[in-house]
Amino acid sequence: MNLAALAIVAASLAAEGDCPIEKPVQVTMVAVQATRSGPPRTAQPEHGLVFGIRESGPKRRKEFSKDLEEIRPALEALDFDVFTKVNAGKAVADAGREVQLPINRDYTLFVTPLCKDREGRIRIKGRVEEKVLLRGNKKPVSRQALSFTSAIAPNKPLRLGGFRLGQGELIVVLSVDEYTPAPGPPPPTAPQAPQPSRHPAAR
Amino acid sequence: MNNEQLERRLECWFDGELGSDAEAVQAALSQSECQAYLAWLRELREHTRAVAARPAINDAQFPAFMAGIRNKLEAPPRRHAQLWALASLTAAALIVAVSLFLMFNGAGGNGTATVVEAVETQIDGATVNAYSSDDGSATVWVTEPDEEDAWVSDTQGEIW
Amino acid sequence: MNVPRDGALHPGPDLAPAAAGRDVPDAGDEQALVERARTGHDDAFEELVRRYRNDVFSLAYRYVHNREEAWDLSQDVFVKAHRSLRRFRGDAKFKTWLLRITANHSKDFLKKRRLDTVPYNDALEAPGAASVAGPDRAYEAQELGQLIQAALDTLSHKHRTAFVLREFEGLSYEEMAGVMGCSVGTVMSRLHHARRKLRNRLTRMGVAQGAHDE
Repeated sequence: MNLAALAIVAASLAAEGDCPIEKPVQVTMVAVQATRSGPPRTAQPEHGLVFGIRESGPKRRKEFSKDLEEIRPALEALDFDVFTKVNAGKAVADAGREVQLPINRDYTLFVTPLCKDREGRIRIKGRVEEKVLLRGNKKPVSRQALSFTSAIAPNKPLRLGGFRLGQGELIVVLSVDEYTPAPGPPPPTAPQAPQPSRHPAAR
Repeated sequence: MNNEQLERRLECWFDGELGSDAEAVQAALSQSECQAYLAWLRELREHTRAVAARPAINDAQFPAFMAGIRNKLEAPPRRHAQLWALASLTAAALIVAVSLFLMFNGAGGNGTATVVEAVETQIDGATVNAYSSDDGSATVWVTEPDEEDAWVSDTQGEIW
Repeated sequence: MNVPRDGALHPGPDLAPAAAGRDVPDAGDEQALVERARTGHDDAFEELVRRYRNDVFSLAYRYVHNREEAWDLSQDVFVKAHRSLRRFRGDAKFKTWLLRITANHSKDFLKKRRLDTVPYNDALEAPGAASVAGPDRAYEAQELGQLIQAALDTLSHKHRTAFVLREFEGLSYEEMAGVMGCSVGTVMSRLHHARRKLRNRLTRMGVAQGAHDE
């Protein structure tokens, strides 16, 4: 349609992408199992907003496991009633290096920091790999449940959700910040070379 | 071959989808259970014809239908295409100018939101959507198909 | 139950009337039309809308049972198609691609409306409902149609889609696989499950007699 306009916008975006990350990036992940204690709400969502993100009408009391208080604001808007922590993890990586954050024996999160834009957002690419046992196979196979690219702003986490987990769904709350070393030995950094995915043995 | 496999094969034959394998089911067709199952399939098909006739947008309604599509596309008449291109170019330049202004004035940060640039899934039949929230966070949601499809769709061999 | 007495077994009655007698656009002509639409020729896009409006409208209607909503949904489908024309690779029929958009868009629409499945109306299963028919099960066509529709509405989206595409739209298994974005094996599985569930529902309604008691 407007190639010239597109070129201008693309150039501006590229200019932002060229801004390197000077410091390593810390990736923080909290994985949560979310379930509903009753049927979905019947109230109509606001126009343009999607089921599971906004609620209207009478509210049901939500329950959060005690170790989720810190990310509770990131979960409250979701259309679930019970939130249980599954796992949490942190990893530090330089730009272009991939880190792996195991969620549970079926799901693993991979994140690669890319760059930092002018608004202070850290651009990352990531994926969630899932192990699934398919009919005809004796061992689980790994498939990419989700791949994404996102620019994550400070204190504005990214939620990844909808993955099947038991009777509920898996939600991953992801945040990234420039790494500031605390006194003492640093947490593990990403390996220099890409490593094959490490999956637990088949059930 | 168990009951379910036999029923599926019968349905394929009933739907005219077995092709050259049709002769292979002739032996099974003589069984009373198969005959009864086929009779049920015929009955179901005839029952479904009782449902309302296929709704349609007739020729007289088509112009209004098409007009609604155009309105939703917000597409200008072709004769204004060049003007639209100029307006878009101007808007893009304005975006860049504002961005540069904000950059050199140190703005941004508090009012910046997390954005999702691309999403994809390899799960057969799943859909992925991305949403932004008023608080500046963002959500990516995968809607997976039911488990039975995950089993069947990746079957390597025959399902019989 | 009507079992042929001559022992000869014949495939099912002809597919849904919708499948018969429809003009099938020439493949080459359609390809040229799509290409022209992709490059911005509005008249080509309008022709595509003209050709396939009822395929889209009919399928959308099967989900929402409301002409006005089906109308809006169908327009949305063509808007999406117009905006996605560049991504249409031409490795599937244009109609298949359109119906796929329709099924997905309808699903999203129903999900937002919290009407992904309609709660089964137990009143339809009450003895009163079945006894109206009498022992020879001679239902009025309209009442039967409503019962069929009620049973269809209890199916999940994927099973209802499979049944609708086959029995109302007359698509082949391969075409259905293209619309639903799955393998032919999955199509067969979903269709089988849909028919089985419908049989159970309709049997409990007294509309049909099940071949196997479950």
